[in-house]
Amino acid sequence: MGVDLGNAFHYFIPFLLCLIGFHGVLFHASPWGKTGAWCSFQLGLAVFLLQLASPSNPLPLALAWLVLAVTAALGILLALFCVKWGGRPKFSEGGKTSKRGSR
Amino acid sequence: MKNHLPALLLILPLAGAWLSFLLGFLSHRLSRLTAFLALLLTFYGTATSIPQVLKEGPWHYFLGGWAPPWGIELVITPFSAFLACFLLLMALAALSTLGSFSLVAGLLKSRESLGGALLLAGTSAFLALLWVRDGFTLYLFLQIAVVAATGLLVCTIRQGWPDGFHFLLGGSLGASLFLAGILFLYSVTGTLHLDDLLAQLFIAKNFPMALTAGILLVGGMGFLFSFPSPYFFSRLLNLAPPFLLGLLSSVMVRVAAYVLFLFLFFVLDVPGLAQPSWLTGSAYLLTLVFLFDFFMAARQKDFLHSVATLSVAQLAFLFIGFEAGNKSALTGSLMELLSQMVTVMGLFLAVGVLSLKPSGSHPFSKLAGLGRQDFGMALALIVFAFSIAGVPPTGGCFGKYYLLQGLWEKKDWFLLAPLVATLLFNLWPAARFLWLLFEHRKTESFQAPIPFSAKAPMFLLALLVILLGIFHQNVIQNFIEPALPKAYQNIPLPNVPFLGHEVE
Repeated sequence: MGVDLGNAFHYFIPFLLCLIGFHGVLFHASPWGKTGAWCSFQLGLAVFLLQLASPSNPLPLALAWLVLAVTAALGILLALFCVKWGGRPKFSEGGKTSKRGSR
Repeated sequence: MKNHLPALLLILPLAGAWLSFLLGFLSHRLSRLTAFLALLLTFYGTATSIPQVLKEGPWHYFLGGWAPPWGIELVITPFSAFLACFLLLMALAALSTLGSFSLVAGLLKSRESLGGALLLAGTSAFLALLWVRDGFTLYLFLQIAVVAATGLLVCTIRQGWPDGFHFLLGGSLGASLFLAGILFLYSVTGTLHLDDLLAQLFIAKNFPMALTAGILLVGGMGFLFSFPSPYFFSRLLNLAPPFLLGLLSSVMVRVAAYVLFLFLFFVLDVPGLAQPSWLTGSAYLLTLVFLFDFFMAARQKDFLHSVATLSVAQLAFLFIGFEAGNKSALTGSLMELLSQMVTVMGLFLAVGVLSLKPSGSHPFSKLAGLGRQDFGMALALIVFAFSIAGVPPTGGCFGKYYLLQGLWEKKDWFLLAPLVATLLFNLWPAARFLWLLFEHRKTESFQAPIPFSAKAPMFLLALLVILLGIFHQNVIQNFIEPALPKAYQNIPLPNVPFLGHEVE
């Protein structure tokens, strides 16, 4: 497949944000870290849209705002879950979740 | 008023959700009644749209009268209207079970009212996923559906914050990946409208981007397609009420599969886009993994875990049809989609009805001899089990028949052989299940008779599975065939370049 490397450089920041976010959601131990990582993924998508926007085509800008609004709303919701969870299953230093009954 | 029916069908459950939530502060009965009324009205509205779409073809509705890419288009096709009726029936069954569950589980009335409101909001989002033809709006409604489902889980599970968090995070990450796929397509084509994307992709001929978008879209659905596998959701399975697991796995997962079908065959099916062999191989392997879940389901000792594994395993039938991609296979897939929606919900409802406690383990041994004490209940269970195994005259039988025919026509032995092996294997657990239900041993599980009101939704769903099988010809002719790609429909080909004609 003929992949255009120019795109990879031009969209490096959104790509990096999405990659960090995806990796963080899967591998971060703490729920706060996972929430932050998901926000990073969403931020990457918003930056990607901002880069696509131009004065003649304002639709990506509107979509970017919508993505940011969804990120804010869901980010707050996820943070609320983190607070309510209150570290109930404690995270050990090895990053593993302890058993519920072992508290 | 009737001209705005497509929009009204989405607004009605959403408005009902708010009304039900607010009325919950005054009277819980009134709140519950409002929720039922909103769902029944939506069902009635959807059912009345079917004769029109059958007569005049798909119903296109532009929200606010704006054209794409700014405007949002709703399209009600015969199949999506039919599927929506099924969806609403499942929602009604779940809402009726929510009341009895809250009594057994000692749920606070305020939580029950909130649960009803969230169920309505989720229903509206699921309906939107069936009818919306705009990529970004699909993402928004996918996100709303995930939030509503999370709310329902948290409402019904005590101390369900960790499970809610993981569900919300996983679902949102899936939706974000889905959005990434949509934005990849947008960056190449400049449109978000599903019907426009195929034409623009054909003009742009940017196949690597289309393939990447396809991978992201499929990856985005990965979380939903693995729900509620006991290997990933074991804690949630043990805590969440079975009717809710049934609603999410029958409606949410199957609606996601339908959205994937739309993308694969109406957006990404660009002439000249050849799938690389590594991607075909990966898709085949993934399908085999899902098929393998049938063997894992047969090994489960717990009824709920077995049903959950079967729910995931049955997705293999849909994927096989998508991979074969010919008319018979796709007909089989869509037929399976309908029957699976009913079967999965029915089995989860059965788990809930047959368990004495609202949560915990549900060993198979508790079902021994059920048929001798409650024949109707056992019969309903047999209908669901036989539909999964593909025994006539259930709806599941005909879906599998068309899948086999599709693979035979395509001479795809690599998928045909495991499918045949799985179908033959599935006869064994079905027969074993039948034996268990009617064996002589008596257990302590069924001291008290199960009230008819608890069993009624299950009987209705079992009847639906049988009717789907008996009237499969009508279903295929009226609803499934018009939902297939244009090349498979018996209509004159339009003069467009992708179908082998030259543009004048």
